[in-house]
Amino acid sequence: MIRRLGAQLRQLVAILRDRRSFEREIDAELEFHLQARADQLQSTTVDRAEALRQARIELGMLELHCDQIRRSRGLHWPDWISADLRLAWRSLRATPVYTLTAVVVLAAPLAIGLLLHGLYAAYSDHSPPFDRVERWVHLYGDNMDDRQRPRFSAAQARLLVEHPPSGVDGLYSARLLTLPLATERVLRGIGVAVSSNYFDLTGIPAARGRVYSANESDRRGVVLSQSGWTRFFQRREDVLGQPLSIAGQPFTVIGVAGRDFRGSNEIGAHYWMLSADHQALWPEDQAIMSTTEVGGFLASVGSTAALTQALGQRAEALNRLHPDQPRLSAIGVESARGFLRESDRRELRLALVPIAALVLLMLLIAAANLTNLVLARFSARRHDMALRAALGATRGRLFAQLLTECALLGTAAATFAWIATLVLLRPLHELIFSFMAELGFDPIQVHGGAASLPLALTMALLATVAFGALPSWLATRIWSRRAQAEPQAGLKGVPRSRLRGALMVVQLAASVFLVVVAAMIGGVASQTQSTPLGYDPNLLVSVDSGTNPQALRQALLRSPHVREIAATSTPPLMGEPRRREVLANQSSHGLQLRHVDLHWFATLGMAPLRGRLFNAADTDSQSTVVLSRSAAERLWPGVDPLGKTLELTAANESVLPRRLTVVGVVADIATGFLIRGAEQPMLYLPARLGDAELQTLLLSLSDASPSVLAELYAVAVAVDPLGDSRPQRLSEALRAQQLPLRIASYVGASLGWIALAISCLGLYGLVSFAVAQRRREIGVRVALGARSINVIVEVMRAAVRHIALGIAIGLPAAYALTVLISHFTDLLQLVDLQAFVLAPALLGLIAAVAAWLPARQSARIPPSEALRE
Amino acid sequence: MAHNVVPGTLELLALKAISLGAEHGFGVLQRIQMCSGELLRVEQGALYPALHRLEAQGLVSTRWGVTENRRKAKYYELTAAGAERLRQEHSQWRSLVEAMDRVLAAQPQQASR
Repeated sequence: MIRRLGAQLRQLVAILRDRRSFEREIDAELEFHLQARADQLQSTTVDRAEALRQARIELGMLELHCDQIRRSRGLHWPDWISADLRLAWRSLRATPVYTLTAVVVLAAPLAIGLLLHGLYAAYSDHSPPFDRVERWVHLYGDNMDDRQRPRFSAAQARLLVEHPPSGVDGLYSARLLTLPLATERVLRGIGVAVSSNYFDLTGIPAARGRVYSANESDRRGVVLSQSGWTRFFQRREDVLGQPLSIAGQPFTVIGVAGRDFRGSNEIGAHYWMLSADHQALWPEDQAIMSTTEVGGFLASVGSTAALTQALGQRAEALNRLHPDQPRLSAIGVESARGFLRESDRRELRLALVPIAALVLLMLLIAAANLTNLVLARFSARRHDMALRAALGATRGRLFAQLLTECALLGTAAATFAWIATLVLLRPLHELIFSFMAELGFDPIQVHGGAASLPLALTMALLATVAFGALPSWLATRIWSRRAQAEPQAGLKGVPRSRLRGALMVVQLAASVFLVVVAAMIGGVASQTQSTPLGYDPNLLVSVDSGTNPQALRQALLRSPHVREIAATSTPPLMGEPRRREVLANQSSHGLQLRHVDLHWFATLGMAPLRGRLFNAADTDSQSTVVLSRSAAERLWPGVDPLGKTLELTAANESVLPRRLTVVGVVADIATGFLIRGAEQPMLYLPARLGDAELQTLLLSLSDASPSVLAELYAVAVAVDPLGDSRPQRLSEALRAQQLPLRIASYVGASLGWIALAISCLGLYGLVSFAVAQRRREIGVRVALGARSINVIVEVMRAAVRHIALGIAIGLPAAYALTVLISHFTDLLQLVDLQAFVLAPALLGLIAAVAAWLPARQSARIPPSEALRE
Repeated sequence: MAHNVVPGTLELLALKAISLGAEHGFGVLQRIQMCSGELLRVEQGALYPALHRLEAQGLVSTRWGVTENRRKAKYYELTAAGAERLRQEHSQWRSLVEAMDRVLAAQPQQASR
């Protein structure tokens, strides 16, 4: 059966490929029939022309027979589709404004969806250029509490790599390193310490020089990636054999990796070093857990299940290496794909759910809008359809014709969206990750989005069905039901204003929801932009205090560009200071806590508002505290806090609570997440450089240009080669905080504005259509003396009802979302006046204008013309 | 008096006519009518879609040839699959005719239980 169908399909394809010769053959066969019959008839009649005439009469309608022959070969389907497509094309070309509107309305949300998918796929689906990538696997450890640990300690990884189980062609280890790398200048380098079989197993060749093999001569040799070659050696031709220093240790460049390979992590590697070198130079690092990933390639007959079984007994051997660490219960294997581990992929998907929901909402708006447009269009074509039905077209054929028109629109929109994705994906990715690049991290390269074409077409098909099926069904139902009994019914049509109104309300409600959400995100983003910091972040730089903070401070102070250096606990603007419970004034309060040295306030340029700042005696006694103004007001509202005491609850049971005396009050500054605003009550506790609490140095500079920062980086590396002590401007940290929200607000605002534009376009179309439908009625009203304003009000009444209903449904939905979000985080204060009052008011106003424009036209209808129509 | 072909049997008749030797469409028509003693009348226009259906199913193969009158004509030949189908359908037809005959020749006593 299947073989027969396949053969018939092949025949059909062959005929379609050479349709002309098939048609010629039919003609020739029927012509031969006519001539043969005429020959036969001529033997009884004398006249050839008469014989041919007779033969034609006997054979009947030639075109009908040709049609039946085509049908017998299954050609009627392609013919119908082709005819429908031609008809749809002509029809759409005749109404360019409608066509353009429909394509733009649908293409906008499709493009946003495809861009999101393209970004996700770039990380999740596009794998590094490994040989045998389809057999690539990752190993992970299972803890006793069933939590996965995607990485091992370097020692555990080495054990697995040196003794691979059966079922794999080999295992490799890879450990991401962020270390200062010095050539002529010091730069942050993203490196990977790999086992010596890494390049052999992955099949990555060298573009220059060589990559690692088991050869001992590779020790202290570095393989650069293309980006590393550019970053550290400006693509110099003589890069091979060049010396470079990694964390103060001498290395030599032995090669540059080929295939534009950048490692298997989402952050591109600048270089690779041997894990044996890493082990020899930093032996104490080998026992740190969860640092090193282990991967490999299944043998040609292997499977992940068989490999998992083969690894069954290895967990115990790994546990023996670190008896004091949490034990592994088993070692698991997962198929590797893309640049993300499975757990990361799950998290990314979870993070994309809300954005995907917003895009779906956009698609819903677009589909509702197009349904409305198509309903109006098909209603206007009922005469045409009645004529077709009268000529014998079935309801199915009419339905298919109408749906083909919608499918053509959907395909055009998908094509536009796909082209937009091809053009915009890379710039969008670079915009999002431009900041990472500034910090020395190379995100992966995103190419095109060509693979999203099938998705684009699928989305177009679904959208076509979503917006085209209902109007097509309704349009054909009108005719089919009444055609038999009362043919004139098809010419009358049935007003479907209620359905169109309901669709309008749906899209307005969805638009209100999107606009309010966009306004909320915009509100939070602008809060982070406008929060006063209380200091100038451009001339302040933070550096990790490293293993020898005193020496680092002394070395940095020698620079003429350093004005002052303070020490504190967490780097400002790079995390939230710790919170502790404070007992004061007979009540308990949760306040933020920051340990600072004596130079902190001077470095930030802060003077006391009340009392004094810390002195050396405070550092010794550890019994004083300085409050921020909001902390003072929280603990002792309206009372002078100087001299008051408070009790700081213990951080854990082994430490006693501390009683502290307030010696000063300073202004509020913002050093945590700006999303919460500046007014976070803060306690400052005195500490001394070298105390465990003080992990960050804060430098006040006279010049924070890149060359000065590079100079300071070199000084820091000289003191502490192993530390990741890259000086970071607080303005960069501020940008890092603001960027995600700024991008979210751009995305939110784009979605909101597009939704609003689509809805207003729909409302405009709906009111225009209503006015066109009611021309005669309006003409009568005007003829009977109705005033223009009354006519406009009458036409606007329905539109205003739709807008009001849309707002009434959309606002509670948006509020429900804020309630939902507040269950997950207390970071966001989302309910604000701008989002819930101004945004819907603006939307209502714009929508009302969109309705008013066509309504105004209604008052200008000349009664004499309207009544004649 | 000529009869129209029983609906659904034109393809069987065409297969049989072709089984007698490769023939063009007009010849197939002539064969059916001649073999029926001019008792069957084939709708000329209906024959060609039936022949194309047989070709699409792989029951007949086609080639272009030249007739005695030196005209180009499309000749139909039976394939092995066509011969097998003809055998099956012929057998089914015999059973049908036999069953019809029995019913039409039935006597009143045969109808009583």
